[in-house]
Amino acid sequence: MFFYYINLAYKSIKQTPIISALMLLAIAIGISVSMTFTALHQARTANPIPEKSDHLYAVQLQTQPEFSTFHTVDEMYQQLTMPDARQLLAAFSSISDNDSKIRSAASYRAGLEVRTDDKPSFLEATRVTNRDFFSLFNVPFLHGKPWSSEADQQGLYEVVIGQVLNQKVFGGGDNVGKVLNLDGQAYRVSGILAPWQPVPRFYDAPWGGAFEKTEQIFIPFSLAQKHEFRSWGNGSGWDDIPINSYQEFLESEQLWIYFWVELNTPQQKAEYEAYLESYIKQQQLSGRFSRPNAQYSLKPVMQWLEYNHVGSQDNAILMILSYLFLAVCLINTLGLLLSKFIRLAPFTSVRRALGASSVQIFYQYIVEVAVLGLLGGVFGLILTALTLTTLQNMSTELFLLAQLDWLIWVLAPAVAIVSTITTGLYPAWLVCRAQPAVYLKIQ
Amino acid sequence: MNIPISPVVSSLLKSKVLSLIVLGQIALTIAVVSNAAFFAIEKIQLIERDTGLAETELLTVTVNPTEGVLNVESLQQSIRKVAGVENVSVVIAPLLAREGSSSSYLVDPDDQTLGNGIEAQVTWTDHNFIDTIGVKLIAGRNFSPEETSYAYKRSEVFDWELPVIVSKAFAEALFPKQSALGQVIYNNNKILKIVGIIEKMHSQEPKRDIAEYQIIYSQMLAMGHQVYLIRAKKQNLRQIKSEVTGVLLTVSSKLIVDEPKLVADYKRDYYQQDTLLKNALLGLIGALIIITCLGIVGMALFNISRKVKQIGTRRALGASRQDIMLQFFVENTILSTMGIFLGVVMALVINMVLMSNYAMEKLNIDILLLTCLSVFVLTSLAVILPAKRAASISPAIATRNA
Repeated sequence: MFFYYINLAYKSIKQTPIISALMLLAIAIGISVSMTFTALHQARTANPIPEKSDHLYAVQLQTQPEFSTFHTVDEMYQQLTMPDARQLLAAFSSISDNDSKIRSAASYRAGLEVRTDDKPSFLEATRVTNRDFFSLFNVPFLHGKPWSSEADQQGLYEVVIGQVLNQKVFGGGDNVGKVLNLDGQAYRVSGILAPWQPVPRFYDAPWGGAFEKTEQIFIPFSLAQKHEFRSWGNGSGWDDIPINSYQEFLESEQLWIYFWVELNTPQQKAEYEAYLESYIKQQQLSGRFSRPNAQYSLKPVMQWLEYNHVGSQDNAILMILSYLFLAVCLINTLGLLLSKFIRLAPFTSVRRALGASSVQIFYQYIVEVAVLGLLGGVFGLILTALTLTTLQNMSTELFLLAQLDWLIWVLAPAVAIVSTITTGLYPAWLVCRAQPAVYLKIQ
Repeated sequence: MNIPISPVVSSLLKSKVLSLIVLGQIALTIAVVSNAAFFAIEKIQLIERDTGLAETELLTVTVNPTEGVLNVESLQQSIRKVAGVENVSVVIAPLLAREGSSSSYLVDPDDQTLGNGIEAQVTWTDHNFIDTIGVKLIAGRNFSPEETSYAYKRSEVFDWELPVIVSKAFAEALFPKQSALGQVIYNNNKILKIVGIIEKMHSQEPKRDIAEYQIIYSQMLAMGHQVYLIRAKKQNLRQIKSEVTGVLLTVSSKLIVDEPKLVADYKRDYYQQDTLLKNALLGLIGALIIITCLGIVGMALFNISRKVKQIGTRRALGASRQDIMLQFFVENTILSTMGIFLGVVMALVINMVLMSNYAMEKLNIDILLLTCLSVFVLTSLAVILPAKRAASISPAIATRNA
């Protein structure tokens, strides 16, 4: 019987081509608009590392005095000073890849000059960080591995590169062990990453960094003690001590290092919190952390993203308005359905006269409406895909955000069918309730 | 001519559902369109703000040293020789590009609690800046070439009283009751003297709350990368863009030149999200109005097909064509008015929800009224075609059998 209804639905839709086309158009446009903005909003508020987002914490320390608030809700800055970063890294340094050790990653963004034999040299975004960065953030390696812990401690010239740079400089392939010339210094390639782009880029999220491409070069953090790399990151400060050299800058109260820690068990979290508390007290003894109740903060990934306003509110407003737009499209469809069903009531009356019950008529109409919804949903999905593809070409940020993921594949037809059926309930009920005799009279 | 209120009302009441559908559509359209239009206008106003700069006549090129430092004067000289270049200035960061720094300034040197300073966006540059970017100097003077200096090492950063130029808004914030000209302000143990005031200028982050607070230094930090601002007539910019990199490379080989970029392009990229949002909203508004008008046309045509006999009978009993058309207009007016009332309520509710959960402003009444008026006019126009169709129904229908 079901396929009979599908057949009837098909015939009925063909019978009123203009009305059917208008309904399909209304549904398709409504679906594509709301789905496009849902996709964008979804990408913006997505969890970039769901497998361990609850165990990764951004560390903040309230090193500044009372009068400096950095205009954040908890009066903390998003980065640490270099002395604090060094201390925190050393406190729980992992010698082996043993899971029970608390691991942390300090990093900042720099720009290094890549010199090659055959091309003019160019500047490339670089992440200066320690080796635990890769295990912390589950960074996938295609060839090789992170540099050794000796490289971390002694500041050896090792480098991990990304696919794009691997292609650009070496022409692709396994180039572990080869030499890369950065800022005139030879670095040994210890590993090559598989394509990696967390969206949002949570480890460097504030001030617009959340939707930038990941760096192609990673070098050991301790190299920062010897070399002043071109800073391509943010920073802030509150004190007025003049800084006359790079060494003074490294030891100053300038805040410019991002710091993340992985705490997998409640015990580890308690241990780390106790450590931070005692660290602050110890620093206060030597005159730093002048606030009497200077705080620390550990924010897990999703909280960190919200704190840094990564999910733009503008998009949420647009998404809400687009669903209201869908509602108008559906009301439109409701009116068209009503008018169509009433007009075609004579045909239904014939079926009733031949013995069909009201329930069967109702079922017939719902099937028709569902078919309409499915078609509208499919067209809407196609329109959504086209819109997102167009948006992708507009900027790096949109390229990362305007992705058609499985959620939309499922959501678009589902929303279309459910909303169209809901819309069709009233017209279907109205017509199947009517007395067939009324419509069988010759008009 | 009688305005046929009572037959209209009774016919509306008979087909309650259909009337409610049209009413609902009009109401929802007004609610969404007014909020969307308001939001879009806010975005347009944000983007169209006066930046104070000669946006369409500025090109920036960033130069990075690979060894040692770069001599500003020789690089500037070489750029000036390029045909079409009217003026060149060296700055710490390109304009409207999210790059740059800000700092807090005190009026009272004894106020050691730095937090009481006023924050402003800082531009480290030279005496060519004001003329190159085209801002309006409303008081005081520009820097003289003797006053400007370049810091090639950290130790060369100024420790003397540095002449600075500030924006009018910043000047008034610092010195509300007197002229800021000739006054001295303090920052991190450094002393700065205000020698000039400009009308307004946008620099690194025009969307920040301190967008109008600008301070221009008469010293350039030249120890790392340097950004050259080039002023030229719009038609010459493309040519200059293709030539300037080569020219700079002839001065020194120990540098990397980034791809030159127009300030107009920096502005476009800075407001890209907002522009996209605005376009999405305008598209939404257009689509909504079209769909609602089509819906009204469709509904009206359907109503006619249902009431063919009734209309024919009215005509047979003496109603003129105008009477029939009038009936449709009155029906539409009643529905629209009710829809507008409901729509205004819904618009305000939606606005309140958006305001409390997201950063939306209170809806402007003018926009709401304009939306209502537009929707009313458009729906009335939409009814014209169906009304004419109805009016052309022949009275002979009344006499036909069944």
